[in-house]
Amino acid sequence: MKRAVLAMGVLGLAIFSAVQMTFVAPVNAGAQQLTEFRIAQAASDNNKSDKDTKASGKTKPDAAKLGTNHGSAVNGGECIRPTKEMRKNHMDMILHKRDETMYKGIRTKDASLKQCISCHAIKGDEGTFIKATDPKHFCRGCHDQVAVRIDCFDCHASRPEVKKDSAHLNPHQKRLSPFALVQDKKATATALNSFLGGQANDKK
Amino acid sequence: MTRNNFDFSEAGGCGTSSCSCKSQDTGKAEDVTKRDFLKGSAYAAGGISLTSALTLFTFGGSPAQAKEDETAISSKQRWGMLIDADKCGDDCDTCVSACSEENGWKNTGNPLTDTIWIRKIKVKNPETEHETTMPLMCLHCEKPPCVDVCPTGASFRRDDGIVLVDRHICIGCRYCMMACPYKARSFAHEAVEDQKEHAPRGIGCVESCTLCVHKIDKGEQPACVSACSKSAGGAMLFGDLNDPESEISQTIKKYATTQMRADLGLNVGVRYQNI
Repeated sequence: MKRAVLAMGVLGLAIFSAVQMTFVAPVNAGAQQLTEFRIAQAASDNNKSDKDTKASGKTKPDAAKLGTNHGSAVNGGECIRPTKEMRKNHMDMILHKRDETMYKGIRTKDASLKQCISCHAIKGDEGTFIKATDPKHFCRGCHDQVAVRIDCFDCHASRPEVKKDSAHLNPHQKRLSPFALVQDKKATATALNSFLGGQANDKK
Repeated sequence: MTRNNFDFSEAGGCGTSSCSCKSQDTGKAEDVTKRDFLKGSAYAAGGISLTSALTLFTFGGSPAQAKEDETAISSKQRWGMLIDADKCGDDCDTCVSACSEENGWKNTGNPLTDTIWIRKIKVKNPETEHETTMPLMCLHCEKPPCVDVCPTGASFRRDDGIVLVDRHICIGCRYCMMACPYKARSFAHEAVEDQKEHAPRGIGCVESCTLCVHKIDKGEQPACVSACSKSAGGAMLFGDLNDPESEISQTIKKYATTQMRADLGLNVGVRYQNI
């Protein structure tokens, strides 16, 4: 009897591990596999939609209708992947790349956010690159449309770096005159008073 | 020795630091005795002064080996720094300016909440009234308390010994700031604009010296080290502590150097000389 119980136990364990290997392992697959899977899926989707379009004789949807600033990179070159693939997978690609860069120090240009920003920079009316706060920013073309908030630019630069005199960044050289500080404080105080005053008026 | 007994007094040139110079318990400003400062350091126990004999060949330096972009970092390296307090000028803040410029942090004139990645500290021996100044930043411990206490795993140590914050998963709890014995970390209270593209930083996250990780990955030296050797006393030496042939390894083998708060057993990557 004891042997039978033991045998059942061993068999159960074997089945359990087999099931675990079959079903749990793919869930634990790395981000790269997930990304590759999605890329493959997107590629098949692309082919499918192309065939559909050809079969039905309809023209492809105009990219410009989906947002304001789609299309190839501003610098005239091609993006690292086809547009459709990028639209679907860019978030996974930069997520994967981000961890590679941060933890492993791999700083290749492929799928790096810095490179995205560098190629897809858009100049505003003043001839300078615009930030993500500007609705014309490349990323906002889609993100505004689908109402997905971009967190990236809370920390990352949203435009290529402009080389300028960065002396003002130095907090330890006393460049500001005390008068300038007083002026700033006055301005702040005035703004605050007007804000509070406005609120008080609203309440009345 | 409790942490509260170990407070730094600020150097004159750095009045805007977020560092509080007062003991949390007593509320009184305390002068740091040199003894307190060095306590626990085996090397400092003898009080040997090799001041005049020492020469650090920081010009020429021992820069990081350029690595291929595709290659991952490894624990074969351990980046570290040696700071010679004798060569550090009293009123000089070249390293601080260089860091601020390189990484794009600046303060708003609000010492309690401003970001500080590196600051100048001044220690005084009350018996002899001898003052020493030196820069203090994240010391990149081998066993970092900030990593131990981080509830989300945002504080981490790279394989090559650089301690960083993963801002993507930092929730801004500031537990690491409490844990750090060197007050090396600060919290970004204000929204940040126009960040450097190689140094992302933003509101709601804790941040500290990254040892200019973006430069090290390219095989360059940290900004403070380059600036110090270029236009100041050449007090900072950067290199690979794991490489016995590197200049930094040779120097710490030959001369007595100090780990700040060595009694904590953190095995810091940034060591000091002549303090």
